[in-house]
Order: sequence, then structure tokens, then C-alpha cells
Amino acid sequence: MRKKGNLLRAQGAMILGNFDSWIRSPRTILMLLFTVTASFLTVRSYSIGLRASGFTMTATESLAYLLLTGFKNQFLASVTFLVMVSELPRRIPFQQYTLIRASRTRWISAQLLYCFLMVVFMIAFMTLVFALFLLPVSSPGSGWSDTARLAQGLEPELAYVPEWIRIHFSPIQALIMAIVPIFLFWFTMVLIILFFSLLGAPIIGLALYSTILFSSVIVLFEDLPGFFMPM
Amino acid sequence: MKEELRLAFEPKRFWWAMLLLFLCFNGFSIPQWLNIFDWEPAFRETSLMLTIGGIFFGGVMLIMPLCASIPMAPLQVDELRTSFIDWRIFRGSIRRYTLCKVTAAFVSGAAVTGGAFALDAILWNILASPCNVTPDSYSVIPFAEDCIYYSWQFMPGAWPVYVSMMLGIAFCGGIWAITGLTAAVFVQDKLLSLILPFCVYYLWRAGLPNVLFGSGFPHPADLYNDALTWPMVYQSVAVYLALGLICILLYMAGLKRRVRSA
Repeated sequence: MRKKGNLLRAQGAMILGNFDSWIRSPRTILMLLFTVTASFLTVRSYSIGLRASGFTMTATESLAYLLLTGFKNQFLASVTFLVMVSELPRRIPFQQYTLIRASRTRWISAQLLYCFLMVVFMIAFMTLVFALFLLPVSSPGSGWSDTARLAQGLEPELAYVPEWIRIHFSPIQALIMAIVPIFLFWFTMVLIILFFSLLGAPIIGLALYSTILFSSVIVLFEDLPGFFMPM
Repeated sequence: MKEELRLAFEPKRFWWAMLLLFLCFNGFSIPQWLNIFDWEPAFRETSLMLTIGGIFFGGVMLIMPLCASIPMAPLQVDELRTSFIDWRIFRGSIRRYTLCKVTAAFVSGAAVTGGAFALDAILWNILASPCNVTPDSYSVIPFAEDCIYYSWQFMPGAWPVYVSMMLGIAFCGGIWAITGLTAAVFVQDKLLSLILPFCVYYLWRAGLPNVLFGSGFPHPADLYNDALTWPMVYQSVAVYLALGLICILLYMAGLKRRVRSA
């Protein structure tokens, strides 16, 4: 009987093998480069807006605000990630090897953990990139600057972060809270792509998510009779 | 050249691309039409409003580079992967091959995008009331007064607006198709060759050229957007021509590298 430590090591090797191949693929590298450039432009436009209104924000609350709005552009961030994860499971010789050497259950669990790792990596990467670009445009301090500005007589609609969030959470808590829906959306997306790939129809998962993502910028849902946007 | 054009207009890819863009145009117009269907005819939106509304809504501008690349970029990837390109270049020359490919890409991209707009215009001219407006009418589109479309919308059927927009969209679509073709030579990946023009478009729209070259750089959708003036026409055409030229030079460089390693 094989030892538990060996099995975990084998599982780890499968996950890392897939992850290593993914991170070195041209799709991932090019999309990461695109993400860095797009993030720079997003932060630049955000800082121009701040400067124009004469406001200052701390790095944590700026980051919380940008994540609460889905990295300011949930559509673009998700499309970029969709391109990166479009090949699931990865069609590499290492996959054949692991399929022969490991049981199906172990192989599937390794794939699920690999999906989890990809999502965590992408969120961490984007958060880090945004944080780095925000550093030069942020002011020192803690707490919500919006609350301080409102106390000085700012009109409530000019506040960046919604009142409910400012009252109930600190910027760090809001930042963590903002990550949760992004993580759940991307993790579901990756699992559905993997699911259809394992069924032998990888194009269905991709087409489904492309339709969901692109329809948000193409279809004017608000004007459809009887359609109400969830608040 | 004839064979290249035949491949570029291969029904499956060409019609799918055109259908996709046509649906994008109507993602705005159909919900609008359903919303105003039971209104008094005088207050309903005209065919011109419904045709061009999809462009101003924004989705079409974003999807256009992707749709324009669909007919030719995957074909280029196939030729590279099967090494068919090596035989074609050996039997001809890089210059001749580039001429054939770039022309086919431009024509197919222009046909996909311009064709989708033309279909959209035909559809809404059948369904909605034609655009015959006077300056004091309710249906006047509030273009800026120096916008070239402002006076054109008062002409019978507003046909110059349709023609101008179709030409602008087709020209931009052709250049985006060349961008996709160039991307295909370097990445040799079908999905990336379609997505890269979209990425270039997005970075351009988000203001990367303004960061690199200073402000005053035209928007990538200026040629068919609602604030078009004559100086903007010249600027946009010049920038698009420069983009096309850079892409062609890069494409030839990519081919030369390929031939050296073949």
C-alpha cells in the first residue's frame, strides 16, 4: 500500500505540472501582459478622476473600491481570464502520463485543485498589479476618506464607496468581501469549462461564458419589456 | 489572389462573423424597438436611430475587431501549422504572398463589418419609419452642430449618413482584419489571433496612445461615431493607415523569420 505522503506528493506534482504548463503558455503570458497594461490605464484614469475632483484616497480603500467594481471592468477582466483558461484540461503530454499513472478520482481532484489555484493566482495577480499602480497616487492614512469628506459637507452621491459598506466594514474587510463574488464567478466559470471539456464538448463551456460576458456589453437588457435589473 | 479571396469568403466563417456582428448591432435596437412598439408613430425612433444606436451603445465597437478577424486569421494559423505557407512562399515570393493575404484580409474584414451594418440598415428601414426629419422635428438626432452627420440627417432617408458610416466601418474592419492576420503569424493560435485585435482596440480606446504619444490621439471608433468632424476624418484615416502599414511590415518580418527557419 502506498504511503499517504507519497499520494499527496503525486497530487501536488499533477497540480504543479498543469499550473507550470499553464503559466508558460503564450495565451497566459500575453493575457497577463494585457492585464498589466489595462490595469495601468484603469488606475491612471481613476487617479485623473481623483485629481480633478480634488479628493484623496488611501491605497486600501482605493483597492477596495476598484475590486468592488470588479477591477473597474468586470467584463474585461473576465474575458481576459476566459482566454487564459480556455484550454481545460491542458492538452499536454504530461496529461497523458498522469492519466495512465493516477486513478481517475485522483486525476479529477488534481484538476479541481489546479482550477482553484488558477483562480486564486489571477485574483492575487490582479490585486497586486492594481495595488502597485495605486501606490504613487494614494495618500497615507486609514479608514474611509469618503466618510471624512461627507462629514465636511460633501454631497452623498459624490462618495466613491456605498454608505452601507462604509458603515459596516473597514477598507480591508471590504476588500476581502469584494474578492468573494469575483472568486465565485471565475471559479464557477472554470469548473463549467472543465465540465464540458470532460464531456467532450469544450466549445460549449467557452461559448456559454462568451455569450454571458459579451451579452452584458451588447444587449440593452434594461429596455427589454418586463425585464428588471437586480439591485 | 482569386483563390485567396475564395478562401476568405468561405461561407462558414464569413457568414458566422457577419451574423455575430449583425446580432451585436441589434442587441441595442431590438430591445429599443420592443420598448417603443406601442408608442404613437410620431414619437417612435426612426430607422436611422435604430440602425446606428447599436454603435453608440458601445458593444459593436468592441466586438468589431474580433468579427473582422474571423475570416482570415484562423486560415493563416492553419497555413502556418500545416507548413503549407512554406510551399506557397517558395513557389512565389514573400511580397506576392503578403499582397494576396493582406488584400484578402482587408476585403473580407471590410465585407464582414460593412455587410453587417448594411443588413442592419436594410432591416430597420423595413421595420421602422424611414428617417425623413426636419430640424424642428422630435426625431432629430442631437449630433453636435459641427458633426458632419448633423446636416446629412435632414436629407431624404438620411442616406449620406448610412453610406458614410458603412464606409467608415468597412475601412476600420479591413484594417482590424490585417491586424488579426499579423497576430496570427506571431502567435500561431486561432483564439489569440482573434483576441489580439480586440486587445489592441481596447488599449487604444483606454488611452494608451495618449500615454505614449501625448493627448489628441483620435478614438478608434471616430470614423463611425456620433461626433465625427472633417478634421477627425483625416486624423482617423491617417492613424488607421499607419496601423495598417505597421501591421503589414510586421507581417512581412514574421514571414521572413518563418522562411529563414523553414
